[in-house]
Amino acid sequence: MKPSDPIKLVAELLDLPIMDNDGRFCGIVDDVELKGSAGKETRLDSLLVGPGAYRGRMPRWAFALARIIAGDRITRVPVNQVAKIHTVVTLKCRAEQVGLHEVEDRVRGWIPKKGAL
Amino acid sequence: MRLSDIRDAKIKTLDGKQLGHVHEVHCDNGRIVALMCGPGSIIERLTAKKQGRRIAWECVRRVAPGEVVVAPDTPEPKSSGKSSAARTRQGTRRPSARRSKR
Amino acid sequence: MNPLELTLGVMTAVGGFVDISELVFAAKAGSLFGYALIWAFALGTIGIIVFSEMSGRVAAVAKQPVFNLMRHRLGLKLGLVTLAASVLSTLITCAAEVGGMGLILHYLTGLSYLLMAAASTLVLMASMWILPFKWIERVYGLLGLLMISFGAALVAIHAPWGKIAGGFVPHMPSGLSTKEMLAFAYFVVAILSAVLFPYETYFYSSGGIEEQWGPKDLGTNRVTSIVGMTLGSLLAISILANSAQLFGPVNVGPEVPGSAALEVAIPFGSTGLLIALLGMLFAVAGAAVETCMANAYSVAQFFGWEWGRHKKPWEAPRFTLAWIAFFLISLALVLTGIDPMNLVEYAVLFSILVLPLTYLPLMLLANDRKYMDQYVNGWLAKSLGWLFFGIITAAAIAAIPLYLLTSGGQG
Repeated sequence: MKPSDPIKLVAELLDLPIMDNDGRFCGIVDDVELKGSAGKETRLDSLLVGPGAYRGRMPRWAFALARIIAGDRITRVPVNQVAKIHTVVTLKCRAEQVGLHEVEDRVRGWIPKKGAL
Repeated sequence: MRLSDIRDAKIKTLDGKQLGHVHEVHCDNGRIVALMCGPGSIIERLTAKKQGRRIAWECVRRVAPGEVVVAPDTPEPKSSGKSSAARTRQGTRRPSARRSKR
Repeated sequence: MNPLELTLGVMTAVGGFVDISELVFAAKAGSLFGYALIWAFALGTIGIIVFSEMSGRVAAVAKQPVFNLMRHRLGLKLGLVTLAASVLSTLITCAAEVGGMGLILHYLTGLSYLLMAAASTLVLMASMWILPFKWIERVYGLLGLLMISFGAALVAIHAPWGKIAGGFVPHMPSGLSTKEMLAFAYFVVAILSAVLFPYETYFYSSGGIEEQWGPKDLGTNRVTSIVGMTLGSLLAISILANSAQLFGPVNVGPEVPGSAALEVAIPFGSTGLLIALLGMLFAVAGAAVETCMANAYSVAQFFGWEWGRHKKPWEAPRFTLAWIAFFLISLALVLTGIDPMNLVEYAVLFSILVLPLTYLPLMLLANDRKYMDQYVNGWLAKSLGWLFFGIITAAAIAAIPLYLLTSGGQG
């Protein structure tokens, strides 16, 4: 389904893996940002990806621990970059274009690029 | 506002009546249209088959940390046997009578 | 279905079925209770067939491995608890396998057990770095087929086939004291846990995605699960039956893996002993690789990292660091000097506690037509799935009390 289709945000979007248009995994939907206010028109704005998005989803002590281990970065993926939602959220673009994959790219620098068949 | 601000929040009317917790947020055409509230048991979450009361987003008056306040005259859902509105497989009423192709 | 691929897949499943826990518990069960616990292996095997087939089908159709759907269905908080418990239990299992490799190499070479554990870990890490996924799976799985020597030994010692057949019928031996009955119950739970280890499902479903299974591979999935696991289980049962025939009558309790190898040495001499030890080494090494990769898969899938050995190590860098770290932590546990047999007990105990949370999301997703379309669970998969979910939940509740009451099956 597309983001414009009827969708249940908790059962059908939250905690789904995200894949870019090259088929690479680039995160999980850790939270969803909404633009609007109570009772007035409120729209899906962006998917929030990263340990910083755990803040509203776990007790304070657990988030403090998560922040020590993994930091508190959040990447915002605009909903208009989402192509399809099913068992994964598929993006219309590459991960780098929406700020995903940065940590993966940084860690890649630590891995020697030799020896594997 | 984030989904985590609304989800699992206690939901009550302006005159203090407790309606349960928010366990689902319905969205259509990118727009929030309704909340589902009720006891929100873990079985319902695991099976993704959520029953409970549907509250139109227009009835929401305030979203505060851990709490959502709705208008006191939010209508009760009709009983399932007599309703002619289209229902999803999960037993929640859609905003319109159109059925999905699934 | 490509016949060669299918045959290799089945043989890999056979050779990869037995790990250190099954080895130890099968030998002990045979010596203590004769053939009476064969049905526990059979029951566990049906369970792992049901859940493996289901996880392979979900991987092929929904293109989701177990831990992705676990997070989606359980949510972040409960998902994190499950992840932590699962990683811990699989880590202990991996350490038990590493310790098992060290012991077996010590028997083969006479060199220090700890030195052999460290050396074999480095060799495994090198093989995981160099070889792509299919070769990792095949090398250890196919070399583990040397375990067929246990089946050959059972034939050679003229086992009482009638009694073995009787062991498939669920029963408890008569005349047991209360302590012995509790120990018997503990062994049932331990065997179910050893056969239904959660890492098997994580590895199998992730492997299906590594090999890019689609709906056309559902036949392969079904045959590999049913035939491969059944034949593998028969190997484990042959270890139990050999032990019942050889050790039970003389009250020998096989406390270390080397004792199980004597089952092949008795009919076939030193050649048989060598083949058995090599078979055990590769089976346990394969299990060490599977447990380590299962943990790396779990963490990577839970947090949405790139993952898979179908990619080069630098194409999935965090996943690569994860499996390296898990191997090193497992080795560190072994190097503390903890008795590897204690690690086996803890692995079995912790794993049964995690099983209900592992299999519940799998059952729910495999029953969900929205994701599975026409490949949703039929009445047989659904019935068996819920039946076994009930059995493992009961076993999980009983596990710790039985362990404490029987001092880990000692009676």
